[in-house]
Amino acid sequence: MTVHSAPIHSPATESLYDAEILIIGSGAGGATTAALLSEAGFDVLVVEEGTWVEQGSVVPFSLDQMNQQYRSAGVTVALGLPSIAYTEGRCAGGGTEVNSGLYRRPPAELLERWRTQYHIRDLDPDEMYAIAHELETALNVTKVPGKVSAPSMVLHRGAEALSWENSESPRWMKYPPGGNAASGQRQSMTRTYLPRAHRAGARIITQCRVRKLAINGTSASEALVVLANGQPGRIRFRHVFVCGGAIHTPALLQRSGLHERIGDTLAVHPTVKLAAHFREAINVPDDVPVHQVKEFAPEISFGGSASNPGLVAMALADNWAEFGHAVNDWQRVSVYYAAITSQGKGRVKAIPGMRDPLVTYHLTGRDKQLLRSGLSRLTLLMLAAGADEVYPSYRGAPLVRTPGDIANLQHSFATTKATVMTVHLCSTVPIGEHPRCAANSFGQVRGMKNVWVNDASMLPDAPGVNPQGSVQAFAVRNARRFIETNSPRG
Amino acid sequence: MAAQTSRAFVRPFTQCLLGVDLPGLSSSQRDQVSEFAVFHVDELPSVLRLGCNIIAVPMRGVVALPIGSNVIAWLIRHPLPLVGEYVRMIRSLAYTYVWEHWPDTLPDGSGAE
Repeated sequence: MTVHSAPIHSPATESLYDAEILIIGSGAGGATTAALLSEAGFDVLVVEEGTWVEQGSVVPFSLDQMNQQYRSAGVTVALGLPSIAYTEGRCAGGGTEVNSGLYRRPPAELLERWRTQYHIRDLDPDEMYAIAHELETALNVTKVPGKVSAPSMVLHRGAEALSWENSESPRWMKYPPGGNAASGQRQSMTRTYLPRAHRAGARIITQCRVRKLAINGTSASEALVVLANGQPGRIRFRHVFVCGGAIHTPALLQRSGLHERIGDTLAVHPTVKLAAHFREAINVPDDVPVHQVKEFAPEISFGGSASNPGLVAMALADNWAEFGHAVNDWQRVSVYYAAITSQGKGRVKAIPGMRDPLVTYHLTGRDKQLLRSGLSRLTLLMLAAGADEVYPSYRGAPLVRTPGDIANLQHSFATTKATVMTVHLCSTVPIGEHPRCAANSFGQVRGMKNVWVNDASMLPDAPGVNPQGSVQAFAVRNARRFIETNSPRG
Repeated sequence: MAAQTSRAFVRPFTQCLLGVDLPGLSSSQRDQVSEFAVFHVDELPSVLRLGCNIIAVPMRGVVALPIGSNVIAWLIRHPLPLVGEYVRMIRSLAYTYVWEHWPDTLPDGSGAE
């Protein structure tokens, strides 16, 4: 094993790279895979399309962060009625650099359902929970020391008043001794698994976009890439792990000529939002609440969103004439969401000649009903927490001051009037032995000897909880199976 | 080429929309917000960018009309399929930018600079 003293990452400049294992993408799946395989003695090269942005160099949830660390500067949409806005990280560390940092283990009943419904071979809950424990140690998954933030307390207070189940979600954060909610440092992939991979000898190159894989029969031999200077390059490999996220993993496989069951089963957690005004200052512009309300889970969950003044204004924009006045009191306003477990399905389709794929998603009637119900209950939760005004985010929404106003909301809500969003995308290359699955139980793409997926695209469907814990647990499991069945090239 | 298209068609529309929606913004603020909208349209994924520019072309024609501002005001209140999504996206970007950069701005766009 080579121990590198060189910088941890560098921009892609060479016209030809060679690697035993090529890992495309450096997010939760790619970074975890890279660490395990390099520690097992494999020669690993990680390629990342975005740049390496040091934590602390951008303000969390700001437009600057969107420009630097999100794909398409944070504006991406799955077309449908309604269209669903979504965001994806595009930087070293992927979504782990920009998301909420909340952690949930995959629930036991979820693992059992995935095992039986998708025929995932050797999916052992005990093994998964042992892996989860390892991850929680490596990422320092912990609760906030001391008091949680004011917008988080809103969720707790409202749920307690209604006797609804709620809890503080732990985060992968490190807090200094005596620290508080505002002093945590995210244990994202650039702080954890990528340095670990590097220490074990992995090379990490940034600003390298993979256009397609060159495939001959049942094997891929090289990746055709665009380098940091815009010039074409090639990367030769023995095995490739595609970990570009639920949109770009299937798009790359399709551009490479692999289509069977790939990209046809996009799953998301759609959300609708509201802004709530309180008598006291509650806004924390650069963080998100840690409490979640799970009374109606897994169908409906409630939580808090980033709420800097710009995001408050966006939440009010659909009814600006009626709600706009609240923006000047943004310190007393925070934004919250209702997320549902959707039964709808979406597709990712690479279009010849286009750089990015077409993404579509269709909500079912049940989904639309759940979103209506979720927004109504979230409004009730806010009132129970002491909100004096609630501003639901859809065109024509009523200003809600009392529980009696919620009937107007239920009457006037339609998903086509709402800003439906999601940050959890998955399941476009689902694993399992069931005929609907695009990869086998360990992420090997069907019909291919050396092409694997190991990111959110492999989850069989939407987990109903924050998916990062599930993605990393499966990534570890699959990487270990790979190590058991393949040997490093001496 | 795509960037030039966005600049030629998205910028005037954004300027007009801001004039209707946030009339209190100064011209330099409107310029900054419009540049931000153009940047974001250029950054959109391929298919969305194409669709956006297809909608932006006739909308550029609309804002050139003497009643262009009235049409934009009507579109804000009565969102049409696709065109409504374009209007909504530009408004969302604009509002986010304005209140992130000038959080003391009043709801009509005045008072911050």
